[in-house]
Parts: sequence; structure tokens; C-alpha cells
Amino acid sequence: MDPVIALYTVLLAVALGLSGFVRGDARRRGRGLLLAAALAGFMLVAATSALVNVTSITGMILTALAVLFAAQSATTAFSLLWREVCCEPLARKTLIPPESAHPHTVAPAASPNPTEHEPRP
Amino acid sequence: MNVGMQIDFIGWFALIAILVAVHGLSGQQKSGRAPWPKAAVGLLILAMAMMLGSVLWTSDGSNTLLACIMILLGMAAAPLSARKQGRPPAGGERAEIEPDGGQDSILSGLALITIGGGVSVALLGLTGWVETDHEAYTWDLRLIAVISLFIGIWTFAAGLMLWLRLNDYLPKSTPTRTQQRVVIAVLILALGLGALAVIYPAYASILMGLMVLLALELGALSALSIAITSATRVLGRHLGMIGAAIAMLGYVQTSLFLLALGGLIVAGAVHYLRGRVDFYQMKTPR
Repeated sequence: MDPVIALYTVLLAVALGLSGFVRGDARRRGRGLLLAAALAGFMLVAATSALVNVTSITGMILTALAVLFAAQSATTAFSLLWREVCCEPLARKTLIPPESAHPHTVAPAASPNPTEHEPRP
Repeated sequence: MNVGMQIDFIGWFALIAILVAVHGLSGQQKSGRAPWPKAAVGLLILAMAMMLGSVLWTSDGSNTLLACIMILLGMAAAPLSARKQGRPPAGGERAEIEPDGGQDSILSGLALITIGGGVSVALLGLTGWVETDHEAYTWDLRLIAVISLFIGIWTFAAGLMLWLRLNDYLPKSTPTRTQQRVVIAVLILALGLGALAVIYPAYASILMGLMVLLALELGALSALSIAITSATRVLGRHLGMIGAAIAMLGYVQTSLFLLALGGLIVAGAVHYLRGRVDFYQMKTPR
């Protein structure tokens, strides 16, 4: 493969990914990491392709183990991502009402009055 | 190196599906919710199945059975390792945001992902080294093999150390300034050894053995020399490294799909590292 084409593709993908991820909600950065982990699970495809094309016995053993571990990490990533997605509506339901119902519980700590304890000259 | 990959026709469709899924998971509506997250996860799984099916379909059939068995074994091993965190995977939605150990659970899962991904990348790099003939014009393949091995071992060691720390198998340690200096020194030494192994393939086994040892030490050091509160930064960094390794594998296997996917993962990790972390699973209900 031409290295210039490869570099172009990688740069385009990074730019596309950065612009795509930036649009996301800042509170969902953790989900972005889980999404990256799930995408990293696609290494299973690379490992499988290496396994079905390998010729030597040593390579076969090595790539078979690589496929095993890649499948394990991909499944874990997908299950974590699915759990995060399933948790979102419930977390919103349980998190937002207490904040709106009792704003005074967090308000003093979050925004202290800066002029209150200011030393007078 | 005889690792060709003639699947880029299917790969484009899978890439479109992945981009749509990323949009569905990280796009934003007025209410602040993603448009259709569950369908997006389903689309990701569909793209993965499509790619795996096309890889197995286009092979000559000699190793297909072994590949299927290994995939099924790995998928069977994953829920066991996730269940170890004391939370059943299908335990209902109410139980999933219980405050007990929610953060540790998801961080342990991410550490497990980096362990598995690191081992896989290292083994693929080793395979690349074994399968490449040591001629002068194959220096790029050898370079990629050595870098993949280094990244894989480093990621594996860091993930393992973080997993041990998160599960309280290691005593509490306070990071010092000296540890971070040693990390830089070991990193430079390992990179130098790797470069020597690429240039002089005749002595490569000794050099690469030393490099693997240093990478193990580097992973342990880089996971131990941070406070445990910034563990997610280390995990995000190593996920980005796995993305870079996937892009390099795409170069070796002449697959534009893997190149683009590696770029996407690197972008996701970079975007993540610039901000603060927040998971819905980590939030306590009250």
C-alpha cells in the first residue's frame, strides 16, 4: 500500500472523528471513551483476517491467541457501552429531580458569595 | 508478509454504518440526549458481524473453523471477567446505577479491555515479525511489527497494573517525581532498542527481548506513578495507542477500513483526554 494514501486516510479519519466527537455533549465524554473502546474491538476483524491468511504454525498459534483476546476485549467493550446506554434515561430520571427540588443543598457550596468574606481595606 | 485483506468493498459499508452509529451516539438534540443510542449500538454490532462474516467468507477455509472457535471462546470469556466485579450483567436497570463500586466496576472493565487489546496487538506484532523476511526493503513492516509489540506489551502491563490497583491487590502507593523521570528514561531506552532491532534484524531476538522487558516495566511504572483518580487518563491514552496500532495493522494488511477506524479511535481518545470524565454508570442516584 502506498504510504501517502495511508497517511491521507488516517489524517482524514482523525479530522472526521475529532469534528464528530466534538459535537457531542461534554457530559458524555465517558461515553466517548467507551465508544472508542468499542471501536477498538474491531481489532478482532484484523486479527481474524491475519489468522485466516497466516501460513506458518507459529503464526497460527500466535494469531489464534490474538483472536481470543481481541474477542474478549470486544465483547467487554460492547457490554460496557450497552450498559452505559441503558443507564442514561434512568440516571437522568433519578438525577435531575433532586437537583431541581432541593437547589439549596448544592447552591451554597457551588457558588459562595465572594464579597461576603472579603477583607475590607 | 502474506496477510492480505480483500474486503474493502464490504469495508466501506461497514465504515458508513460505524459513522452513522458514532453520530447516533454522540450527536446532540435540543434535550441533550443522543438521538437513538440503542439502535446505534446495534448498528455497531451489525458492522462488526458484517466485517467478520466477510473476512471468514473470503478466506480459503483452512483456518476458518479455528477462527470461529477462538471468537466464540473469547466471547464466552468476556462476561465471566465482567461478572467478577460483583455486578450481574443482566441484573436490571435499577441495580446498574447502585452507588457501590460503580466507578470501580467500569474502570475495571476498561482495564480488562486494555489488557485484552494489548495482548492481542502484541501477538499480532510478533506474528508480523515472524512472517516477515528480513530483507532491507521490508523495513516498514518490521518497524510496524516492533512498534505493535511495544505498544501491546506496554498497554497490557499498564492495564494489568491498573486492574490490580483498582481491585486492591496492590498496596496503596503514592506517586513520586522520581517515578515519572524513570518512566521517561525507560521509554527512551525501549524506543532506542526497538529502533536498533529494526535496523539490525540479525540481533533482533536479544534486542526485542530486552525491549519487551522494558515495555513491561514501563507499563507497570506508568500505571503505578499516577494517582488512582487519574486512572481514566491512562486508560484513554492506551486506547488511543491501540487505535494507532489498528491503523498500522491496516497499513500492513492494505485495508483502508482499518486505517480509517484507527484514525477514528485516535480521535476519540484525543477528544476524551482533553476533557473531564463522566459516566452515567458512575453517578449515584442520591
